[in-house]
Amino acid sequence: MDFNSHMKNTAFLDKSADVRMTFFSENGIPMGEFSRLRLGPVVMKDEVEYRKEVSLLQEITVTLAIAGHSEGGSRFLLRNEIFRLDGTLCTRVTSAGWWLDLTTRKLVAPPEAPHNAMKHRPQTCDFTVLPSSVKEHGD
Amino acid sequence: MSFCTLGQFHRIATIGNGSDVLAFDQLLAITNTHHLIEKNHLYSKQLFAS
Repeated sequence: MDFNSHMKNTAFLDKSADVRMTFFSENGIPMGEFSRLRLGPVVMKDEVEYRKEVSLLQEITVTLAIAGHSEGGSRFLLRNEIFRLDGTLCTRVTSAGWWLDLTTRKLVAPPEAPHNAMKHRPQTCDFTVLPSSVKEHGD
Repeated sequence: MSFCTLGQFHRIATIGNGSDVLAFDQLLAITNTHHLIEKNHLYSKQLFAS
């Protein structure tokens, strides 16, 4: 909560990140697997649109859809939307991210599992094919 | 599967004319976010604001 007694801006980002990581966990890539692969999703940009307030402990639905990715999956665009239970859209978060090799600290194309997890999820109608940032993988 | 979010449909409705509104209603019936959640097409989680 913030000074205005509603959910603060960074809390929306936190809820969005929680749902993203839960998504990976429930789709065959638990957090331990990221550690084993020495790989992690890294967010380079967040865009947050605030529409309606959310109050303390109000029940919310947080959705996740794919708004874009590069052919090999090295770059992605994820969209979280936060709704009240009556369906009112409160906030839309669009996050651009890359996959980071935790050993080399370089951007890499992801293994098949995380790429497939995103590839086969619903896409937004403004879905964008992104340019790849990993030229050596040819995507 | 591709879909428009509820917010995007609101924008379509705002700029649409009479015939578009009918199309909007039909589209909304099949792309309503909660419909997609109920049908398990759209990944979602119930959380509490904090």
